[in-house]
Amino acid sequence: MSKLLSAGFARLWKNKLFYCEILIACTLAAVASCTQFREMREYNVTITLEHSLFNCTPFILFFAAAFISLFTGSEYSDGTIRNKLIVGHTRADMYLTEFIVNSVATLIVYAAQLLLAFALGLTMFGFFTIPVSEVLLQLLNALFMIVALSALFTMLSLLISSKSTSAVICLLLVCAFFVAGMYLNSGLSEPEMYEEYYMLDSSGELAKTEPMPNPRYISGVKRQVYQFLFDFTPMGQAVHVADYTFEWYYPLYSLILIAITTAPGLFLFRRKDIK
Amino acid sequence: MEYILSASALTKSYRGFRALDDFNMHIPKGAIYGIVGKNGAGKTTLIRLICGLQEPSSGEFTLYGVKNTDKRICRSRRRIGAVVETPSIYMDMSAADNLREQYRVLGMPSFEGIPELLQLVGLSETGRKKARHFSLGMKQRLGIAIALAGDPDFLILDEPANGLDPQGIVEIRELILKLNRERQITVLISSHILDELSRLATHYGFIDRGHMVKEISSTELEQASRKCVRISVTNPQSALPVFDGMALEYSVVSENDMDIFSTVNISELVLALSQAGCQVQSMHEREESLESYFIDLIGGGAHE
Repeated sequence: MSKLLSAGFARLWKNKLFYCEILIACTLAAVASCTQFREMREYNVTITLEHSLFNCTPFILFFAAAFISLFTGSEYSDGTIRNKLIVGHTRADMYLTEFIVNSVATLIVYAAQLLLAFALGLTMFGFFTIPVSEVLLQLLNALFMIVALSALFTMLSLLISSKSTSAVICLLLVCAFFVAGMYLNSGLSEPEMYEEYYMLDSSGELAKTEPMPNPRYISGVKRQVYQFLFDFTPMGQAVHVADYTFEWYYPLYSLILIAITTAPGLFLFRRKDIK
Repeated sequence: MEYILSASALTKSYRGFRALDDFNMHIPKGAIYGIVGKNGAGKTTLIRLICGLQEPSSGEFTLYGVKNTDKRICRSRRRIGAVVETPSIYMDMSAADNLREQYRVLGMPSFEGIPELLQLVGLSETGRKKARHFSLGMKQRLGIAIALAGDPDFLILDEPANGLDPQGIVEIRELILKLNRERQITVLISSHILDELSRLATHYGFIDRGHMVKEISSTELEQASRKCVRISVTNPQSALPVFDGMALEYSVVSENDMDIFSTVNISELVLALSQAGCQVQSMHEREESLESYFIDLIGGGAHE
């Protein structure tokens, strides 16, 4: 497998899309930091380095989907996947190599984004106001989330022989994650009770309403399911990283996602007819 | 005889359609084995199975004495190079970069063989030009160079002359002959261009509807090929009774042309035809070609 890894990374270092994504990711980080800095000055709000640092995390889903589907897909469109099989490499080695190279590429894009956000944030907002260990915990969560994302898109890109089809499916999946994430998050964010508030009645008297239960509040098993789905999907995890929320089971969810995409992916890829 | 590849009862089905059906084959070491068949006969399916791109539905093949079900088949495959259908090259890389990539895939310790390989396939002047800007012939040659990167002793070429201009076809033919003669590389080659194949192959396998119809060496083919006299006449209706009267074995090729397979006294034949009111327009001796042998064997339109 070391031969395949050497070939895979050599191809990565020559890939224009990879550098293009780094450039776009850094541009996004710069725009986000500058926007926050302007808001801080204009509206006198407090923005800290830790909150500015992970701001662009959800965008990594788009970067991963686009890069992995096109980078791995070109093995099919150029037919070069055959060169590896013909000379006797096993399909398992080929699958795992693609997974590793794709994970490293996506992590590098994310790292470049974080580094720039850190450098700009340090000059604009000062150093962290929370212990560095907490930041590292978010980094760890992001790392697992990105590897899980790479596992998912590697599986799709290796099982779908058409590069354009896999690119469309991967990007549509990210859009679905975004929409589902927003839906779940808005459902979970509904307050359990409407707070008491004061109003003027028709006679001009100040009246006070009692706190009322919110009919849109999700409770019970449904809430647990919503919460699990939000926490389990990469989009939810990316939002958690950006929002600085961390639970011990987030990395575990990522590991589960890696397992449930890689195991069937490997199984199906070993049986796939390649043309 | 030592065989590089032998297939036994090899079958590959796609959703009920049998692309290869009880297929048998034997490729001797050092041969240029031409596989001949119509479109959809199963040539490319066979090559995909040998190369490990697909798994057989049943049956087996042996590559360098190792069965396809044996785990050591991967090691045997390291001794082969192949161009399946289209050349497998990274379009955004130069010829040299493509070869470097394949050298890494093979785990070759250095890149020093690359200039020689580019020279061999006539691509040493391409420099940093990306493969996507290559002509079809250049891509085909680069595909062959990649297949040769691991110094294989068995080369599989699927329709290598497809889309090439006449000059390109000649270049590929000379390259294959050179590899076979100078490097003793066994070659399996599938081609529609039978005339071109007949200039190369030392052995033939005729495949139809997934079956191996016949395997034959070029020497045996030459012996089996029947010589004939192609005669063109003005009045075929009066010529045929003359042929029958002289007990000649013949076949009608077209409206005015006939092939006579028997030994014939030309003077007597021309005189008899003249007396029957039929003029001989032309007459020449010809040998049965690979094409006509293939048509006879497979049955031409009857099998369409």
